[in-house]
Amino acid sequence: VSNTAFRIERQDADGRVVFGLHGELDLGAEAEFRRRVDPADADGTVVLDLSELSFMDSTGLRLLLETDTRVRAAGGRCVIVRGNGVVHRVIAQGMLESRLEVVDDLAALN
Amino acid sequence: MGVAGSAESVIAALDGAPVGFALVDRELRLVHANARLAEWVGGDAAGRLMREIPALAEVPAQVAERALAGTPILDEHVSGRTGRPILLNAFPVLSDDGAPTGVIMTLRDMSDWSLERAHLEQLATIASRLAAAATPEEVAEITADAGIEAIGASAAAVLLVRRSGTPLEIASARGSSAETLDEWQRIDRDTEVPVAQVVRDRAPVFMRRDDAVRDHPAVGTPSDRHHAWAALPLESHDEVRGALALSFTDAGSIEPSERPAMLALAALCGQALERASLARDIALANDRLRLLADASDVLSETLDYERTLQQLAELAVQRLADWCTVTIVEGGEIVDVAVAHADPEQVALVRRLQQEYPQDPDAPNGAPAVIRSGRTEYIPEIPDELLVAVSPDERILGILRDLGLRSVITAPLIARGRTLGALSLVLAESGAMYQPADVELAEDLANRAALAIDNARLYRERSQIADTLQASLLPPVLPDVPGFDVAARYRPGGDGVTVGGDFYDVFPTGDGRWLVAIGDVCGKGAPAATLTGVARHTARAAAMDDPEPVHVLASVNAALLRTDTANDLRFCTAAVGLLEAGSPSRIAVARAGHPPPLLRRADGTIEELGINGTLLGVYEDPELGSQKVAIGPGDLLLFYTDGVTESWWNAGGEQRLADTLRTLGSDVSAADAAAQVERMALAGAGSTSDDLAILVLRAL
Repeated sequence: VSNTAFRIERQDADGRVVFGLHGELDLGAEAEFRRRVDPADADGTVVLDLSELSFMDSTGLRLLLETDTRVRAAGGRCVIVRGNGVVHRVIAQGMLESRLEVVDDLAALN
Repeated sequence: MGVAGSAESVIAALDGAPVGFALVDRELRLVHANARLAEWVGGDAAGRLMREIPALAEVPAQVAERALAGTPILDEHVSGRTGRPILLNAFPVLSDDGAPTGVIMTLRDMSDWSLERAHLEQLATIASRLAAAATPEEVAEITADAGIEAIGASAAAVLLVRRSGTPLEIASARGSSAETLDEWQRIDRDTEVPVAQVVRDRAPVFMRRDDAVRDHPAVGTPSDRHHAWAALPLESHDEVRGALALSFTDAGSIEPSERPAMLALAALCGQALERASLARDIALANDRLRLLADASDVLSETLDYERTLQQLAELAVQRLADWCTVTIVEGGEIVDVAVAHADPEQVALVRRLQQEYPQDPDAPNGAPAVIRSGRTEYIPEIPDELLVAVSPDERILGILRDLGLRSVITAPLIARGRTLGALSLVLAESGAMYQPADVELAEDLANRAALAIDNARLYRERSQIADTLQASLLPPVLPDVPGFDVAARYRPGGDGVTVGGDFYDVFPTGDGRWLVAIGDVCGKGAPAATLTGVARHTARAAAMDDPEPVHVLASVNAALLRTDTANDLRFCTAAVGLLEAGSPSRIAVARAGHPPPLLRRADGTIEELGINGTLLGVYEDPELGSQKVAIGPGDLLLFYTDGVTESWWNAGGEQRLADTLRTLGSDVSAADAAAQVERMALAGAGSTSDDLAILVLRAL
């Protein structure tokens, strides 16, 4: 069960904030996500790294879209690091690859 | 002068004796007292009247007076106020002509007397048996046995005061006839009989046949068999817990020399009763805690509170009451919802009566009164007048009397400040009576029951609201679509009180075509339901204008963007099909972030329908497109939401869905197909935490 529990690791480096998301991003993770991911304190670039997520549902997708909307509204840049097949499929099915900035890995950011 | 003088010299000679000696004159004035007596009365007593000396004022003075009548009084046993047993003898001093001129008294302190060895051994055995007794009943049994075996009585009875203020009741008896036991089963404490007197006075009574007839006429004529009786208080510390009654065939059995053993037995019994009642109190307290814990378990098991309350009543009857009834207010009426008693026939009788005689809401007692006042009614002992007062007729009065109702507590069921009903606990045939501590327990129980009722009602209300709201989001009846067999399944996920976000619809577009729509609004509850309503109704309105699926989805997108969601981002996925019956029939499908509807061909092949597009409610300019396919007879269309395949992301639900469709016969009805898909979805998901909607159309 421990590998499915949701967890966030935050890294501030090179003028951007990277939120490393782990475990399952669903309704059970919403409170923790809202507590930890605060785009307002990001200076410029916010990265949501989905590569360590094992699962994401429509609630998770809503949290990504909200973060993206807020960061853009504040004039920032929101980048999503692609998750595994199961996770990415939620983004793909919503036809959001063209709406969100999705990169294959953190290295691709630079 | 002469007699006093000679007696004085005799008494002076006895000054050093270990027994108190006194010479008194006809006025009961102490003419002389030896050193032991002086010590005993606390100072030189010579010259004072006996009545003025506290230690002598009562029984010793009476004994002296009786001796003045001319007969010696021998071995009078006195349990003095000082608590020490005293043995009194009084001898009249006669003048030459035979007239009494004074009394010589001896007073012997008996507390130092050693008991006979045999008695001591027996008492030691009894003491160890009593120490092992766990209940007052066991103590009573052992004491009654000891009365026969160790003391030598021919009949022995232990009467207990069960609760303060209640009559004495025989707890154990040996050697008495059934009639005697019946007659003396319960004895009020103010009755003029020895066992009641010793409880009141806390001093033993020993009597022979003539004493009994003279001093206790209330007892009636003593049986011929017995010639002496003893009644001893059973006490410990400051509490009298009962009395020990002993009857003897031999008048000599209550000789002073015999009494210490009886007193010792009574003392041991009193202490054992105290211990047993403490142990019982502790056991009772534990029982109560257990009962409350069990009650909480029962009450939390189900939301069906009528059933739960019956279980609670049965629990109370096992532990706390002979009868338990629960009454609640439903729609302004007072309804008896639960009745419990160990005997099902009794329960059936009471249920019949409850139907024949509905509760009078204005009744001055019982559940209606408690419901009105919100206050507990506690009647430790139900008087017959109350039965008369509450009985509507003679028949009921007779039944109530037969039930032997003795003691009752009716506690209100209060939750969130409202009285929902009442819980009644009744003691009847068990003979026990409720104490003030039971009231607390009853109220505790009632509070728990009230909370359970309140929760269940809240849940029902919310659940009804949710159902109503949900129903407004789905078509009440699916229309007949010419050339197609149509069926749907819908199952809201979760707890039943939350409105789901899934919807589906099938409706004619007015130009002979039909629109089929399915959608899933992200989230649950009222905010999701609002958007679901917007999506469904917008789809209907837009289709009247232009039924092309891309137009319908774009209209829904625009409507969702205009809907205030209190700054929460909410989106919706949907699939829309425009169905054109004909030869062949055709369907154009557009999707917005939604799983593709599936087409199972009559030959078993499966196709995904439509072109995917952007989910709705987030962007002003969604990319949308539609695709049209032809449908032949026996082809089956399945529109569904991701609740059906919720687990496919993890466990291949999409594959299982395809497999399920393949296994369906080509002539399967739409309803059967939908049911099969639902079964597969539930088996795969293992729960229904997500909503699921399934819409099946089969071309005929």
